Amino acid sequence: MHRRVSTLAGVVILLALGLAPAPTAQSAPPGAIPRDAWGRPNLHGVWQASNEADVGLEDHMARAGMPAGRTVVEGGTIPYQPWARKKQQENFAARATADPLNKCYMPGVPRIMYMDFPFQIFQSRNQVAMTFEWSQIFRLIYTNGSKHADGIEFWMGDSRGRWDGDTLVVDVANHNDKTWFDQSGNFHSSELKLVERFTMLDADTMQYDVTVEDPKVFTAPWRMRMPLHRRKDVPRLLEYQCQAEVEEANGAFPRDPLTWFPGLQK
Amino acid sequence: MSRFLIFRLQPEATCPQVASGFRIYVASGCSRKCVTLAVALLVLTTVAHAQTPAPAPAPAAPGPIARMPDGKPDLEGMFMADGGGANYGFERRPTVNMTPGGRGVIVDPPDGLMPMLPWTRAEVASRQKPERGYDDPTAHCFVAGIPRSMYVPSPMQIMQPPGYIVILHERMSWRVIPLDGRPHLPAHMRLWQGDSVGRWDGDTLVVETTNMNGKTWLNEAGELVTHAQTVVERFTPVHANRIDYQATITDPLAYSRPFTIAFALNRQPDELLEVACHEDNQDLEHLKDVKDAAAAAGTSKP
Repeated sequence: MHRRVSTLAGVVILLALGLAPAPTAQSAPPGAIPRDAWGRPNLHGVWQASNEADVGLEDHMARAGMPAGRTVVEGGTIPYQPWARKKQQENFAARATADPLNKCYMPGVPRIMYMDFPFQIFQSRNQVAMTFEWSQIFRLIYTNGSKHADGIEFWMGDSRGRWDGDTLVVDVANHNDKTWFDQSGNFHSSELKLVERFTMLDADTMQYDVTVEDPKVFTAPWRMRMPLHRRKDVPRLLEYQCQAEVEEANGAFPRDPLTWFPGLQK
Repeated sequence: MSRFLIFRLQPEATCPQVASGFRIYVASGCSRKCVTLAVALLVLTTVAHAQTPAPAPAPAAPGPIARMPDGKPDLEGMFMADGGGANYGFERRPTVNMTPGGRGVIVDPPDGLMPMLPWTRAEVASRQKPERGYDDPTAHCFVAGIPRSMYVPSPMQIMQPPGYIVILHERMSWRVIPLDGRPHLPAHMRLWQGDSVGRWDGDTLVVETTNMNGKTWLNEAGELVTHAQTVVERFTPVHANRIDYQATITDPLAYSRPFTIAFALNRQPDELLEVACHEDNQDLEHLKDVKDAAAAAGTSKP
């Protein structure tokens, strides 16, 4: 564990590099999006990405179990330092065993946001919560002006949000260096800092933009962008308990016939 | 040797809180490392604390219960159960060697004893053997189920957005409780955390949970529930900083009658952190060794 540079320093770096914060996505006409009791856009509901970003953030051709997809990275390519691009290629080659997700470790942010599972957003005065079907993990995003908990690293980072007009802006800091961005071995260090921007485009579509900064791994900050879609067909999340499913499948957590649900009763 | 010596090495037992109020397992999760890391992390968190605004101190005299604009009690905030040792056994018992004691949390039946059927009693006794420690789902870092999620020694954040109660457990699980009167899932859909629906009864939030999968244990003592379990919980705010909590467990496959546990949920002047249990689980391997050794010695069925 070590201390991070402050978010302010991160903003200064961003500005120094001439990368302005992501422009607010085109505003929807008033009334087209739901609003909460405080007049803010109401992000409530079940959402899911609909893309291949979790397979690979950059353009990629299909592999076994990995659908092809186009890049979600602005400009198409992640600006790795040379050693880091080599490391990413090693990760890709070793992905079957090296991808932390294959051990059911927490995917980190932003990866959890575009995995192929639905998640639900709840919003109250001082927090936004995101609950994920994948392994029942959650994000609790304080929007009360509080500061990052410095000196502590988190698998899911430490999220602090604020409203910038109709956009929820979330600074995510204090990541560990153990998560990947995708199945293709794209990675970061514990210097990672994210700025996420959630902007409702209409009642059922939300633009999700992420600015990624990690001076140990990348030559410059970079940005990914994608829409998230409302899952109107999912009235409630179910469960995918990753590690439990793995251990039941491989026999490490055997069925207890005394207590377990016996299955469909005919 | 008691299997509780082993369990004492788990995070819930060793790392929930230190005297200063800083939790010390933070991002490290559940492992024996908690013990050795405690001093270093305490220093770190103290340093961090010195550089950030102090959390508001709890008021000397707690105020009245907060209310939402619609007049319903406002349950939002971070809470921690005063669980009375429920995670190590529901009945009243002294501390014996390394086995944590408890004040007893059963308020019904009045004798404070669990109304176990004979097979239930035999199975609970079996689960208390050291080699069965491996079989506790929380030793695998699986979610704790209902009601155990409420009294594992780990805090929770309650949120109350319109139409819902949401409980975020620091030990990385959540409960989404809709208040819109929707029906339960069909009976064949089973979940670790079950299917919860809620309603207000005056100032009391009543939550009914069904559709359990029967995979969870009630506590480290191996007290059990089956897939037939249903739970009715009552959350009654007493003042600004305390919610009285009751859970009535009905499981006709295992118990001769419903029984009810009760304890307080106390507000914490703090923020939720993250318990990376599975990511740092070193205890399971140890428990597996104990299980395998017992199997090899022929003292346990494989």
